[in-house]
Amino acid sequence: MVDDETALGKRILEILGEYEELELEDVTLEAEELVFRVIPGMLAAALPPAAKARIPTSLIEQKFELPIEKYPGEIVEVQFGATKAEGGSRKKVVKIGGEKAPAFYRFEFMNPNRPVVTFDVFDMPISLPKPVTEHFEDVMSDPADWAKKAVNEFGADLVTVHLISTDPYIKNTPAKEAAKVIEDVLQAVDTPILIGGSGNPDKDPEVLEAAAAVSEGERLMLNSASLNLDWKRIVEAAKKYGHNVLSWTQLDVNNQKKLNKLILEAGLPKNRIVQDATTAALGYGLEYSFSIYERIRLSALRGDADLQMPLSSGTTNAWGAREAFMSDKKKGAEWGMQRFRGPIWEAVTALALALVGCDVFMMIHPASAQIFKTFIEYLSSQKKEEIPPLLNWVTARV
Amino acid sequence: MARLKPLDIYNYLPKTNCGECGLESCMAFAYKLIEHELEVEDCKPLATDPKLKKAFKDLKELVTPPVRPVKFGGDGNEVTIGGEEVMYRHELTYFNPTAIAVCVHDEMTEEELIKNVKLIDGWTVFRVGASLKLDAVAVKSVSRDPAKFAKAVKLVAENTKLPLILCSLDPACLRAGVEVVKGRKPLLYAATRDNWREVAEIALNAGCPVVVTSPGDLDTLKSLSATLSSAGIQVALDPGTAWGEGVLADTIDSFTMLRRAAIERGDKLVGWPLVGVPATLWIGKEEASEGEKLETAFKETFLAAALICRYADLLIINSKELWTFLTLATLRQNIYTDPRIHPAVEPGLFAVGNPNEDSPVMITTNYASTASVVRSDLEQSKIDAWLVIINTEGIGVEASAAGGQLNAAKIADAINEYKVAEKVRHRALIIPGLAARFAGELEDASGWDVYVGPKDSGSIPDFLKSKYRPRDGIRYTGDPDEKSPVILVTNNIKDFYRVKVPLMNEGISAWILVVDADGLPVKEAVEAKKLTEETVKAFMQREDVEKKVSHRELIVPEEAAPIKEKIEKVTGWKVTVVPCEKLTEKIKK
Repeated sequence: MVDDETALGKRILEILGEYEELELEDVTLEAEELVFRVIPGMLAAALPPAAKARIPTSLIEQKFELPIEKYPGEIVEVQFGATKAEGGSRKKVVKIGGEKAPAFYRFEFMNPNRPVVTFDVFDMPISLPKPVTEHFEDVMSDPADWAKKAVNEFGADLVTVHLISTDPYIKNTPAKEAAKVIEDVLQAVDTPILIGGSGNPDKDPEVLEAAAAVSEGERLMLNSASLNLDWKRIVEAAKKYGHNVLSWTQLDVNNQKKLNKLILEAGLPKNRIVQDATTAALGYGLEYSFSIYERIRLSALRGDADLQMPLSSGTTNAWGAREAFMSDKKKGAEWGMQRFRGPIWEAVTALALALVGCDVFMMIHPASAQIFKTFIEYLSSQKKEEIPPLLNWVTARV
Repeated sequence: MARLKPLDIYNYLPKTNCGECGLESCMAFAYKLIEHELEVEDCKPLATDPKLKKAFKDLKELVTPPVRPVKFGGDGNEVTIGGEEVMYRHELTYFNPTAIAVCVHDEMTEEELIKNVKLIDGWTVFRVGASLKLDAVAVKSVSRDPAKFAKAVKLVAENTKLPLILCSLDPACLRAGVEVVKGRKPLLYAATRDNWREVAEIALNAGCPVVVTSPGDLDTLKSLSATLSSAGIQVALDPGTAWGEGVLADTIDSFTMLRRAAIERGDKLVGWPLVGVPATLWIGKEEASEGEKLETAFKETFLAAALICRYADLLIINSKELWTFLTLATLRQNIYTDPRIHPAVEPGLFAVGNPNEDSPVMITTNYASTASVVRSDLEQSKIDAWLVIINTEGIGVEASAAGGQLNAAKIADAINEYKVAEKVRHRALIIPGLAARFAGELEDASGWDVYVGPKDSGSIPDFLKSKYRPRDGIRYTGDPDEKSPVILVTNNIKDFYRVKVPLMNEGISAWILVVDADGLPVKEAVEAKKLTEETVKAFMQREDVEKKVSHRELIVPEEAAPIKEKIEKVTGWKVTVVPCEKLTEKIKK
């Protein structure tokens, strides 16, 4: 029960209490060690539950020691956006990373930057579930309007513009033409933006390069460098035009480390790299993402220099889960109202990854983003809200 | 903490391989003990032989995890909370999934009470090979009237076998409640700094575990734990669950600190299950509007989800929304999945149901949950199919299609390697909607026709019914010219390939006219008048068939015999009726 004798001795002194009587059962007393300093009740407290004593007459007062640790490593701080003075045109910049302790271990350290939400915007109308489109259908034909709405109405910290129309199998929009959309969005909003390609490995390097060129100095993020495409070209574009790069791998810590290393060796500074180890949605492998993000963050804090970059999540993936996208007509009777079921699916996917250290969340539904941001605010605030006594829940007539 | 090895345990066992535990050897028993699948008490000789009393006690001590397991509920309907060994699931696994308890109270009408209990008791959703369920009913004493509470507890107990949690800070109510459910071993909520002595007495008399609570004060919480456990009472710790600026951080901090102290610092006095109470969000919501109540449920679900990720072993919630249950039970299933089991399943060709040579061939990845969802969707819809599981290194469709682990060449290789062509007489592959971008490349690489299936395997039945059809229009085999034969068929998968595949196999170049008949086979299409001389005529005109060939001979399957003359009459072509199996023979002649 007790680690060693010293601890036992110390514990005994700590937990002295008053007892009416002592009844020892199944306890071997070694008199030499304990002599007669045994005070009734003391042993029972030290050796629960084998020793059955009557209930103490007064509380055995204890002190809870905060289990605080120090970490040799820390996460670099990455900045999205550049102000005029910094060579860009953004009114606001967004900083992420800089953690010195695991996420929301406030008792150890209040990490300097909170996780941020970036809204997904696409350069052409795409098929999305109805609960999402009902918030955006008026702006889906214009990425600049879409971005504006995300920032002005839904409090987006950032927006990510996905140039999906460049996919040869979709519209095959030429890279230069697609890059114009980036200029439009930069005009439309004053927040930093992130740039996504179409996911086509042959075309993306060219598209991201063109987008990087038209936004020189803005310190955006190019999504993504990955092992199955010409990531060097993307990294070179980021170096040349002053942007960040997302290092994206698929649910594999070793590959993540490998790609980060390659990007570092190619000369992009550590504070311009963000990692994405892939988000599997709630119910569709979230546990793998959860543990991989957690392992990456813990390894980084324990000193693995190749993993000490902030983490990003493509949370919108959660809408690919049938629990999120299937309508009430089909599934409402079994799964409940989609109005809540959809957004909570996306929000909980974000939540789980935020709790293991993820810093950037690419999201799409305003209600998901809102509850998630509220949660982060409540966890990060220095203030303390006055709340009614918590134990009143027992008598709440609800 | 170093993890126990079977040998560490073996030394305490009788080493007789008596088999009383149902296992072949004491070593096998040691393995099961480490995996929490059996308990020390399951070794009968060890538990009963007075000579082995010390070994029993020592072993019990040795295998007690840093967070002790606590059971409540009776009659074979127990739930175990706690029993955890690690802080982070990747270090080993989490063992006992967070139990989810839902509230009812003693001022509900009898009807309301029964309705709610039945809802909680009966809720279930089947996903990824398991039936998800709720674990307990928490009965609150809102009235603070012991008689009223006892009556409510009795009614609840009569309507469910689920374990119960009796909730009141008034010992008189708890005593009255326990009295009517003796033998059900309910969990008592709660002992506080004010009532602990009386609650401890009730617990000790009834043999029930107790939740100790002291919101925001971990010193008192630990003191309560030390005090009650010193009397042999099993406890669970509620450090307070709060939603609000700053106080939420206190909550998350408390859960994290308590778990770390127990597991990494060996603080036995907090080595007990942790209880989260998201139901605190409902304080003051008695008169709230429907909208506000839904919003409260939304926040409560979110807070509960956070605590599933952060060490709660038991959650008490108030929302009765189906989406709350679905979200929490799914998250819990994810987080408590054993990470030691690799997410990849064996790649290969698998029969789902009883497929035959005309059954569809579907492609998916070897990510365990994708493969199992596709399989169970097919099984539930009673679809017989061939499932080709591609080795994507255990990565799901969307990520592997993007990351290159799933590609056209790999699928084509798998089709050859697994000899799929020997199982079916068609040449149609159904690929996941999320892999649509390979369709063209895959047709070139494999020589099979590719059909892009739905993004979600739940829609496969609809897809097969309404979309799994050969494209209508002029299709061909080989490299046909103006002298090549012309064969007519409907856009039915089976009939189309009954025509196409023999031609392909014999290396015959031919034109195939695929007429849209809503996917019906030729026979039914003729009967339903979807394939008539008029539709054939319209097709020939629209597609300009006369420009393709210099002859005017049309071959039709024998099922179209009834309309042979009519077609000849309206088109002016000579029509030959041939049974499909004799098609190539006939053409060669």
